[in-house]
Amino acid sequence: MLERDGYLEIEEIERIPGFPGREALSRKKVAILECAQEIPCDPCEAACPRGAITVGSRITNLPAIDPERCTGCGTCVARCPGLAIFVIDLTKPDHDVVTMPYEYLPLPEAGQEVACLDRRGAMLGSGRVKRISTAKANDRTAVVTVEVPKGLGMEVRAIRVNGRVLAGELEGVKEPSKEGLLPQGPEDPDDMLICRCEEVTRKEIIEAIREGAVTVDAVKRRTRAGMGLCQGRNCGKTVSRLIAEELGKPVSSVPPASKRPPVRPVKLSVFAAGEDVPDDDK
Amino acid sequence: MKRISDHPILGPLPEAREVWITVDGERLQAREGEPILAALLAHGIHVQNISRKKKAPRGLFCGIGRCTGCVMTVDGVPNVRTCVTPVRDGMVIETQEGLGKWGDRK
Repeated sequence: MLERDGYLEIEEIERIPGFPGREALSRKKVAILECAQEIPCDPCEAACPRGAITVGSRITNLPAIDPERCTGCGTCVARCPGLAIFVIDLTKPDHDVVTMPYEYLPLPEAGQEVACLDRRGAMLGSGRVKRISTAKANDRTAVVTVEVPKGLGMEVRAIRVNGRVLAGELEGVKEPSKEGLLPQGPEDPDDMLICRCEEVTRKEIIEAIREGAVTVDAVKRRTRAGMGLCQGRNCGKTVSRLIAEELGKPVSSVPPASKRPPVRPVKLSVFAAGEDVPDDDK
Repeated sequence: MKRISDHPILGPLPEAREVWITVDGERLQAREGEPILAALLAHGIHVQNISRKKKAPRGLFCGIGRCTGCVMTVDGVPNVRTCVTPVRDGMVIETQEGLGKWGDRK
């Protein structure tokens, strides 16, 4: 589940308007827009030369694909800032073909064997790069077309290219050098700073909650968490969560801190409107 | 100097005028218009202020002007968020103690 795990399940994809439908997938190469969160974003709509993608007048609408207009050209793939668009061809007899955006280095070459990963990043098998496009219009997002094992066209959404090394796999750097580094965080989570500005620890906040401060404002009055330079921009959410955990209630039931203007820090001298105010503060 | 001169996605570092800033009394070269913090990190300076209560070193945290972790005293003005304040030639920048003090302004 996207909201819980960070990736879409196939059942979720089948419900969104960017899913071209099983019937279309069974007979043609077609784009699939795996876009399931209503964010204000619409470059895909303008990207399609055939008008097959519609977001509509509300920019937070999910994009819809018209499989009849879609030719599977793949122009949209590199244009999605969320890397959520793929072109799928399930019609070949001996393999499926997935066209995907790829933003890692090194880039694979045509013909190269690569590992196929699913939406979670789990390894599914090996595939072969059929084509890689680094066209200027793609703005440095490579578009890679991969032949994947038959039946996995709806599963493979990423590749792993040989030679790409993950930080955890490098020899000799598992224990990075401590030289020149600042002291690390505390061992005991109770000593963790929740409010960095006023330097209030988790322990102090939990104590305040146990003494009856069960709203963000109440914790703030008791501990000063949220009264520093950043005005609670960083700790507010963490404090809500600690309150919810302590009370065994959902976070949504914890009243948030009162919000007051200004939205960004403004020095009092600006309101006093002296001639004296440095340019940066105006 | 630690800088990424040719980023694989962002491309080569754009042209910028080299200017001089003074950091805790030391004259350092910086690129005009870059965030003050970027110039400091390029010179290996990671501590921007010393916290008020625990007297602990503080520096880059959010990098987008939200957390105030990297505030310093700039040209006599305390609590300037160095990650979102562009470098100008001749800036005088000081590591800040706690909430800092107003100093002499230019």
